[in-house]
Amino acid sequence: MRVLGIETSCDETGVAVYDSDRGLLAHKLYSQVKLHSEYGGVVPELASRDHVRKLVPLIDDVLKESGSEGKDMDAVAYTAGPGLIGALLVGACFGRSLAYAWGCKALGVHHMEGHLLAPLLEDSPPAFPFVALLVSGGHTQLVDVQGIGKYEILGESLDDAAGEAFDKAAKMLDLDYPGGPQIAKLAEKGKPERFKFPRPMVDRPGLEFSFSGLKTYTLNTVTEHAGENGLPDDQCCADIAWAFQEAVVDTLTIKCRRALEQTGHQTLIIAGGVSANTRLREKLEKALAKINKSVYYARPAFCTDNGAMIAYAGCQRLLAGQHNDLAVDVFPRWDMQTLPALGS
Amino acid sequence: MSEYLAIECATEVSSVALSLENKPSQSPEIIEKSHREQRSNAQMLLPMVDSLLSENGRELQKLSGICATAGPGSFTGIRIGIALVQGLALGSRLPVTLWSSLEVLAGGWLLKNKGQKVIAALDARMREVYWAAYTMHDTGLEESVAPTLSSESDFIAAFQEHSPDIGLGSAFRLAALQPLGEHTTLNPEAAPSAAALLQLQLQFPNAKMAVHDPEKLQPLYLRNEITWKKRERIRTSAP
Repeated sequence: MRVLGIETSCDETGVAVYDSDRGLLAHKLYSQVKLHSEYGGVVPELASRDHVRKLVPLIDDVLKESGSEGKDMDAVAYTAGPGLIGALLVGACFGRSLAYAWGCKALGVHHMEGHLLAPLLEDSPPAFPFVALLVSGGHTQLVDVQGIGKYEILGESLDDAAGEAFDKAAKMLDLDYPGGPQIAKLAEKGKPERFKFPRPMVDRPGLEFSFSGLKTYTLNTVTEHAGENGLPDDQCCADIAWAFQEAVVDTLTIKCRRALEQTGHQTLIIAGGVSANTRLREKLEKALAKINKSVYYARPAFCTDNGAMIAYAGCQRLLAGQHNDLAVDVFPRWDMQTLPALGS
Repeated sequence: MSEYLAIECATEVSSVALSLENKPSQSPEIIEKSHREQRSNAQMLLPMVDSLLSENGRELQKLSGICATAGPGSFTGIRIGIALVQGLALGSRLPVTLWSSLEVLAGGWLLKNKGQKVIAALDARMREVYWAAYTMHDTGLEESVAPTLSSESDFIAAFQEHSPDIGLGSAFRLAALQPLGEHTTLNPEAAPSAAALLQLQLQFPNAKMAVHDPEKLQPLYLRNEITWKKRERIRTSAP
């Protein structure tokens, strides 16, 4: 089965062609990051406008690169939520009508299921069951994954998502949006241990997260050390970036280990934009090696939003016989636990 | 052959229409379906297209082309319409003609009332109006003022200066515009429709260049100024 995947839930336009026999044939991404960085965050109206501009040329590219024509496609899978409603509508309406004109099936895909299954696109994919840490600008969730559609959320953030905390801390240090890569880069120059930031909610049992206190702590530290321009000096900013990143990474690591212990699973997968963070990967690998468990992740390009994960997740469900009718539905909020399970 | 599919969803009532050449000697028949709830446009439009085609035994690929409005109007509405049309066009390789919602609104009226001067105006919210002025000749619609976005007060001045025979469209529901009705007929209930769009396409087949590259099918927003505040930066460039 050959599936075109379309992702437009936020500020990246991603498209890909996945073939269940031949694997991923092509993928393209247009990131609007530059556009939104001027505003310090995603402006939904501008994001929607950009998706309308970029979808057709990107799809032309992946069709060409994959050597596919409309008649070769068995289905179109598009992100139906969660995400920004205007942005979702562009990809969903486009994808649904393209499938109609091609005379093939269509399916709305859950964005976070796409992320969760992205590591399965890699050469030696993990086997079910596993614990998934979904960690991005919009989500921080630990999920018990027994199979496709068999999800139980073990814990999630009570306030900000980890990626959102990175963005906000970056803003405090006057770094560009998105904050994750900027903080990570600045942290490389930071003096370890100059600041010790709190690891929120690690002393209590449970798998919930909270990053708003850490955010306040960061702001207080920035203010305390600020010079005349309202910012600490460059070295101090780097030291704060190091301490902030370390606090987030440690918190995530502690909770992941706890989730593995609680479920008894041997495998952790991490997905979402923050899963591209090198320090997080290093620390998780070390921590899990100690308890003889392993961690999997997608290649960096598939950690952030992309069309390949939507094509892949859509393909798995389409193979199981799922598809949507002609009415286009999008869900800005959508609980992953309500998805139907496959193979049960 | 003049069998076209038309899609219009810039305003509160969205519609799709199909022109059918059942009897070659007669002018094509136009069948329209419309839908009033703008919030569920995405759910309704494609099923409406499909039922128009299937009820009349037509296949998308065998039509002459697709006609659509690009706006101005509700941003989400016109984007849903354009995204649907892009997908249909990319998948079917049919050519598309794009019209403004204002010329379809004015044109629908002028086909029945030739010789009049019309101002078509849609409520753009934020005390602003999308509007344009038209007359119709044997060769097509003439745009004496191209689609533009004006404040209510600027629009009132322009309207008075232009002194049309009628004002059409949702903008004339606005309280500030009511005094215009003292000297000119206003029809705030008039709205662009897919059927009017098809009539214009059939009457003036060369009015619009057919677009063969779906990438070129883009919304006409008119409101492009950035109302979102850009970040104030402390550093000149991030390290």
